[in-house]
Amino acid sequence: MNSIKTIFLCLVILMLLVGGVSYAGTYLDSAHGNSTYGVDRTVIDAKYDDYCSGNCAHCHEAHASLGGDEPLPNTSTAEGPDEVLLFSEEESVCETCHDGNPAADNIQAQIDKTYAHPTDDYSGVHKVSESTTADMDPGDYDATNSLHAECVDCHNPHAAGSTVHTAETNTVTATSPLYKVSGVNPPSTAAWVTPAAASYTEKPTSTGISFEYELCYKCHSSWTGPNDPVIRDTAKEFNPANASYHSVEETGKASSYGTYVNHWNKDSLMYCSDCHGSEISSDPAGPHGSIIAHILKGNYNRDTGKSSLKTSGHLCFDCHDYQTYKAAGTNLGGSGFAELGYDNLHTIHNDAVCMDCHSALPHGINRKHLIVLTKDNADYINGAKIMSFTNVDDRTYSKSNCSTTIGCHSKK
Amino acid sequence: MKKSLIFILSIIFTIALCSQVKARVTGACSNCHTMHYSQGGASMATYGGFGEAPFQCLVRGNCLGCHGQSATGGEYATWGSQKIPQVYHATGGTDLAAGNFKYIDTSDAKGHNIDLLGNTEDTIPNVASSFPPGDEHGNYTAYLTKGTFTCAGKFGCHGDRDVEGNFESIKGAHHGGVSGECDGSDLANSYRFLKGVKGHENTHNTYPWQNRNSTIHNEYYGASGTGTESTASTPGGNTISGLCAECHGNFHQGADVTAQSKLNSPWLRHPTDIVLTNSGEYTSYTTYSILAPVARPSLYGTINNLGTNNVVTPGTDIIMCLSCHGVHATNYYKLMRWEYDSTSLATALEGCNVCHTSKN
Repeated sequence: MNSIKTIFLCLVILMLLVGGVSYAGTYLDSAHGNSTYGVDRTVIDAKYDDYCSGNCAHCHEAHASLGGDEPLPNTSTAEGPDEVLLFSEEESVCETCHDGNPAADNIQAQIDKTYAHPTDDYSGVHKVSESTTADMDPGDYDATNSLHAECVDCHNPHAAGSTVHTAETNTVTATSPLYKVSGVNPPSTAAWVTPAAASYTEKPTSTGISFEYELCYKCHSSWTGPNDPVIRDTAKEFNPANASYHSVEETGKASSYGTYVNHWNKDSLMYCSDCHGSEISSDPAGPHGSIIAHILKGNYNRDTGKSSLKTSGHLCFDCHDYQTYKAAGTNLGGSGFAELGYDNLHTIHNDAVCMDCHSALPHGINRKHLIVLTKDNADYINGAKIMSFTNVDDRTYSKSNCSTTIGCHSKK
Repeated sequence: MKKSLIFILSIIFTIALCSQVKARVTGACSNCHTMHYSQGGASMATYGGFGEAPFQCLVRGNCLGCHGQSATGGEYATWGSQKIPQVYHATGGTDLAAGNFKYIDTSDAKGHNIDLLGNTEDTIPNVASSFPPGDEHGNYTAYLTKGTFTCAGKFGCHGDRDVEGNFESIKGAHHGGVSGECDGSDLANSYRFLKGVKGHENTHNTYPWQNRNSTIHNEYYGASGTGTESTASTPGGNTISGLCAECHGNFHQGADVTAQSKLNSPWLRHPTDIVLTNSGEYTSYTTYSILAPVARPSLYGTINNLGTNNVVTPGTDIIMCLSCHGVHATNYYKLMRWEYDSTSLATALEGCNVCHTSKN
């Protein structure tokens, strides 16, 4: 009897503990919900001096009126209440602060760049329900009918943290700016398979994403339906079943011979935003915008790796050692692309550029080392030179492993 | 056995009677009235010291004379066995459900600054466009000024809002007041003599008219999405929020609150007279909170009952103006029920978190 009582007591205590955890708050832990550095509209309208930083009132107007008047800023042409009780609409709410003042990070400037998520380009498309309930619908982000990327599609303003992710990981934690945003997780499939939209696991904001790519896949995957050339099915490309891919979902399949820089190694995981973001490293993190196409942090083009040009600042060389992989590089060791007696064949391809052999769209491909052939889909090639390729894993490449269009090796 | 049953029923009946507090005024006429406003050749002292005698309806004081008898007293005054609710009394103790006008002494922004208080309105500009805020129906914008906001009547809340003046609009109601559940059919049968408003007044013997705790409290009537909007003098849907909307109509349900064809999110203004959503974070609000109370779509026949009055049912119960605001005055900015302008963010959001449970 006593043991039953003890078990009962333990269960009650356990329930109380679990209950406490489930009601643990997120807003007061978020970047906005902080009484010291949280959201504060006082600099825009002095009336808000009555409210401490982080108060709901800095974004939400319960009555669209304060002291009998509509508070500042009255940004919309038709003054009056806006959806979700906000003081303005969509991105203009966020950009009121995130334009460098009072929030130091100028996100608006990023979005205004030539290549950016289309936050400013659409209005009235985003629906509150698309990310705040379990009623997520691929059609909400359909590239043809519903394309949009409002701030709240990527950030949950009630939960977002301010800590940029830790390098070499791919997870989203409670301090992340991406905390508790909606996303989708693709199913495990065979290599180079387009997952059916219905096979994705949907994660509404109440659950939130665990990995950054789950957020990106809301638009950039087959979950959204038509495979738009810009939107792409990146879930297919990053599929860990592929022969090679950048390690966004799982640890990559690179050889153990490679040479990396800036703390990276072959087992590192990565975020989409490790490659996509501002071209200026001191700019706010995240793929808001860039002056480089595809919102890339650095150039990746037909110059990248060229021996006659200094391209060490190009994107690839943020992680991959420049002197190892550029043409005519000086690091003669540390590459899996080797033959007996010569440890790094990259360095002797004097006139080559990365794209001659590797995918011009290097998310992933179902061939080792992101090697592309001239016959491959045009999305993945940009001046590709290789016509056939035979992989070896033990650093015993020979000329017979490749045939090229330019006849360096056997031309088929 | 039969005797025992009768005995038990008698006890129950007696207890039930004892626990009722009557809205109808009883007792000696002279408690309230005077024929000549003269006693022993001299004018009588006015109740509470408010106003200038003599008063209409031969009463011995104005509204605050009875309902604000002592600035240093408590929330009740008693005449014999009759409790009289005090709406203006010492702060720091317990207030009645609508709050305490005494808080206005420290800031006009804490309450409705009725003219009887004699305060100079100093927070609301005396311009037609801003007094009162959200005046959808326009009548008050045109005529109401700083010095004309009254307890009852056309420029007040209690009584008949088609009639101007405290006495003119409420006369007779105290003699016919209905205790407990009020159906709003006439002034005497209206919740707190707010003509047309339904509700169930807390008639607890010890704590009447208080929102004391999750079980002992008034029960407010709400009507969600009826499409019946208030006019300048009738409360839409016979609800307490509908009464507020007579002056603050833009803040009440309808197109002013949502652009959706159905009454749902995304809201334009904070919903009132709208059902508390039975999804997401709102499902966690299940125990009645006097910090952010809800209205009911139908009133319980009983009140102060554990198991009914202390329960909130998302998907059924209704958000109302009084979910956030005290009506007379509170100790907080903008008549809020909690310190929304606190420098402590956790305190500032205390009331918000009752419904918005994931934002704590």
